[in-house]
Amino acid sequence: MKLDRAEWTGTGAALLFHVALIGALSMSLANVDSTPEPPAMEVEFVEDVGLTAAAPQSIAVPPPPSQAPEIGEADPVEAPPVVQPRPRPAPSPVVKPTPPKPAAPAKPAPRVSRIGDDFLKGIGEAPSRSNAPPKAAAPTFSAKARASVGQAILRQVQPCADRQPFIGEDANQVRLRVNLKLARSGRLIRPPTILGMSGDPDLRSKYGDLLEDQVRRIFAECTPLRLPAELYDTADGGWNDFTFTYRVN
Amino acid sequence: MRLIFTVLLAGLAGAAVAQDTQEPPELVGGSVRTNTAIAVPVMPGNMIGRQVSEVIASDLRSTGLFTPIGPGGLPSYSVEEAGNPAYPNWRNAGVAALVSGYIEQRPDGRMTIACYLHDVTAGRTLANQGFAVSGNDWRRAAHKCADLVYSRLSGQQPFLDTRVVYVAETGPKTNRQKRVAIMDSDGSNHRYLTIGRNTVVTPRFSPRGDKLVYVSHIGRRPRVLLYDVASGSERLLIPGNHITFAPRFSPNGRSVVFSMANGGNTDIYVVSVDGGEPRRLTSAPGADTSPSFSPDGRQIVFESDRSGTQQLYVMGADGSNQRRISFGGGRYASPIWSPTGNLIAFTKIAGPFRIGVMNAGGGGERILTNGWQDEGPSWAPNGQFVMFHRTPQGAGAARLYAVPVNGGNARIMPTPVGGSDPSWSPLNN
Repeated sequence: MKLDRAEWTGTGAALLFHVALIGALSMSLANVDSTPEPPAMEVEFVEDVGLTAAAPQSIAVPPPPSQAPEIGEADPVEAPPVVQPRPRPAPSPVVKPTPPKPAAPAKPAPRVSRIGDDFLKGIGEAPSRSNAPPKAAAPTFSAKARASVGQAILRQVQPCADRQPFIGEDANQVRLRVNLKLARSGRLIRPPTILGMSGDPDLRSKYGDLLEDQVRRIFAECTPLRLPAELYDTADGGWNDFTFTYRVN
Repeated sequence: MRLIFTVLLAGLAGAAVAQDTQEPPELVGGSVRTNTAIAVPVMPGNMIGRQVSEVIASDLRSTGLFTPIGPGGLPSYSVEEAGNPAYPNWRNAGVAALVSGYIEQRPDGRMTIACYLHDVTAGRTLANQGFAVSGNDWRRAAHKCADLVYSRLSGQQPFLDTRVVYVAETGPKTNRQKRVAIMDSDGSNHRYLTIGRNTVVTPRFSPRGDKLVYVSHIGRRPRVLLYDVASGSERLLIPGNHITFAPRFSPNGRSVVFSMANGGNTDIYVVSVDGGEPRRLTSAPGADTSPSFSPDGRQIVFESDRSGTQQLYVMGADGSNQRRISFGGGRYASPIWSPTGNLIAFTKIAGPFRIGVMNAGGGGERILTNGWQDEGPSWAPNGQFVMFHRTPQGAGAARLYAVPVNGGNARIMPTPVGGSDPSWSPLNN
């Protein structure tokens, strides 16, 4: 393949242009100011039943400041009550609300947040903003964890519940409220306890014992249960003490 | 701004409260219609232990709810183990329950039959009871044990320690002999109460089971007789030459309601068992018959052809407020009020004869049998079964059957001869 004059000229020009471009880049002529990227967010997958705080406990690099204009001082905020039924926390002192100040005229202050520094005050489990090394979060038996554990227990015993025999056409109108006391091994510490029964008195009398028999059989046959050890007994409760209702379909 | 935060706080607090008071999760059990496997090994302590266990197993099988295993083929156990069995071993046998016990001779010459029911799956004793009986009454103790098991596992009242009276039919159709016979509900201890000189029909137990009323054709004329089971004595309920039939005791046993034909009309009357003048309860033209009291004694169901065909009616025990309750087409006969009071069993005649039940106030009709000629229903004392007699199409004697009222197949009752008109006794004392 032979190149004619025009082709040689074009090729040479292209080569010269590329050399010039590389040179320009090397001399930082193409450098452009840019804001630093925020640190990468760590994402980890957790099981259905997870600890309350699965995210990193502290943020080493402070987030970029808000660039929104300041339109007023933040109102004092009491933190929402943390669900901690056990032990019951002492009543926190009432935070005297600061009277709202009239909104200051808008002025450019792009590096000041609208949210006050104390917006996390009162949330004991909130991640620390200090530079101290991160502490492991204490497991809490939140409502979500409670629901997940409950579903896990029922899921594990459902095959045994499904095998229970028919006891009467109207037996499904009676409901038992049952409490379990469980050991860490997932076995019952004592037989299931019937806390209460609802339904027509005659039907309760007729089917109460039979339904209790079924509950006992179910948990004799389908235990030990396999549940997250860290949620066995937390400050907020745990699956060592579990209450559910039972009925037949 | 303050308002917004207040609302936000209130919402969060409400959510927290809601989390604390949330409903507990619900476990829903199945309702598998399967028979419960029950091990009934030989009871230790006496030679009759095997027979006792056989009776218990047979009784439990007759309920249609259980599959008894044993006594043959099951391991033996000691008297001490009766109340404390090795549950893992029985679990391995594939049974859900275990009936154990022992037999012990008493100083007074009687014997105690101890009966235990165990939940093998849960590993615990559900019930136990001892029955002291004379040597000849060991079958009754076995029935009581079976009743204990049935009642504890089904939630129903017991019914196995009962008797049945019926009309035993022998001989060719042209010269059939009809006698009143009595037996245990499993067919044992069968004996005849009448000698067969007169044809008898419709024997009925008194509420305590100590008396019977039945109809005997004396001189080709039907007459109601009162019979004392213990002494075997009998007497006319209504002296004189009246045509009386279809008798039943009141729930308190102090009176008998029956039909009497008088002047071309058949009406329902009630009379004291001690005698006295019968009191007339119906007077409509036509035949009013087959009366049966409600268990509270306040109402009577009966059949009448006053509308042109046999239908069922209900009235007050004094004859007031008579009203029809059957409207399903066909004819209805031989009604009988259930011991639980909520149902009435009857014979439905619409081509074949079938046994059915309906609500006590009418409606909710269900047909329980599918034979060619099923008739004469009688309730088990717990209201869970209806006994009747079935006559096969063509040749063949009628036989007694029992059918579960909540559905299931009818099973034949073990009578030595053909039979009709069964009456189920109350629970034995």
